[in-house]
Amino acid sequence: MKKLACLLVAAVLLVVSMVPAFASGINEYEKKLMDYVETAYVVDGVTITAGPEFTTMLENVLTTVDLTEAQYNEIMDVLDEALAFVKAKGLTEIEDISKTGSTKALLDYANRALGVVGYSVSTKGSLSDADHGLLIITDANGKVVAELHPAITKTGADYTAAAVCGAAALAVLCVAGVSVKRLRKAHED
Amino acid sequence: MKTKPEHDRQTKRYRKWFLLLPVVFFLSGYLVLFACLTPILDPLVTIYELAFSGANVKTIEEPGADSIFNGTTGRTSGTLNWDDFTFPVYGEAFGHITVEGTEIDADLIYGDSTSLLKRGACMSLYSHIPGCGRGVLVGAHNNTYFHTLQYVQTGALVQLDTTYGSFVYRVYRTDIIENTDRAGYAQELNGYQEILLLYTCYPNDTIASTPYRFFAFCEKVSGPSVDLYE
Repeated sequence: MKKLACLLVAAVLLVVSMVPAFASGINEYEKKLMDYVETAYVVDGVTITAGPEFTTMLENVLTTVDLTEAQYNEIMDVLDEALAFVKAKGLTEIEDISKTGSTKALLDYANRALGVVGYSVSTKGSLSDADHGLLIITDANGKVVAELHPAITKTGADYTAAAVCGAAALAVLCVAGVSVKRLRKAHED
Repeated sequence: MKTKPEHDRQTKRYRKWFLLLPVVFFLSGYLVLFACLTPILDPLVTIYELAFSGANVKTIEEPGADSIFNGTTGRTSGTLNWDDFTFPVYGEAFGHITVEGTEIDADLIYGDSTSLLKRGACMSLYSHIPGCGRGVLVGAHNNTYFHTLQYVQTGALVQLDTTYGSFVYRVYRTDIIENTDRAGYAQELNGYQEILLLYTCYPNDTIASTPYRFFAFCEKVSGPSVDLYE
């Protein structure tokens, strides 16, 4: 009997942990979720939206899961809570998030919502990264599902640091030369 | 003429500086060297790992690593439903891109993080995969995979082969846009017409990071359609 129970528990855990791995097209619940994110956040008559690029990002992330009705309802509960928080804080602009110190609270809501499908969101480094839209979404195994950053990324070399260091090295050498010369002169005197 | 005590004081001060200055310059020199060498530390670390960590040719990430692309499918038309193809996973090379009149010939990676940009031309997750009838945003470094993008001519054909179909686009416009100027590309990226947006930093020979991007806007000529909705 114990063995049977163990097997059952193992089977249930296996199925549960596999849920996020089932990639699928955009189903009706995922479509409803996208519609909600695009239209529901209305504060003081202003619809807050992060822009169509973010809806596309959400769509791409949703292709990696197969959202069920129960999961959809659970996520909606979290999003409704987040909406109440946004309204209470009067957040109407993206900049308001950092101004009112709401970054961590909103990240927590995002984590709870993504946690429903076994995902999590984190900053690349410090919390201020989130204010600049630098976030990483990972699955239950820590594998990156998506990285959020400005849509147009940096695609060129940057030698500024090396140039500054070169100039600094030159400055150090000049100071060294002057110092040695002055010391010699003082010693000769 | 200096008195003896004065001379002694000066000698003492000189000795003090004689010790202090080399220490200061030694530390400053090390700091400067460290900062200057930082950009090339990665390759040095890689060489060290090769020599001492037991890594071999099988464990080094090659440009083709994480690739699910095995050549063209030859599918150039029709409609693909969700069940007809495999949606790429973040970080996977799911295609290949070549651009007529340039030397662009690179893997197409799904995702565009800093590390992925070292592996090929990268598709942004802020855009759709080819075939969705929407904007497809692909960027790559101007000193590697897209170093000749700025020489592309209007009318040039872009061949984009993926795991699920072969697409051809035609360059209809090129532009230089500041990276914060969203209006410069938003309509093409978010519109309901399939536009391939290729971009890289501009100009190529800058020492510092540049805010400008060279864009090539391309319209779809052929290729299958993809329906992501169930």
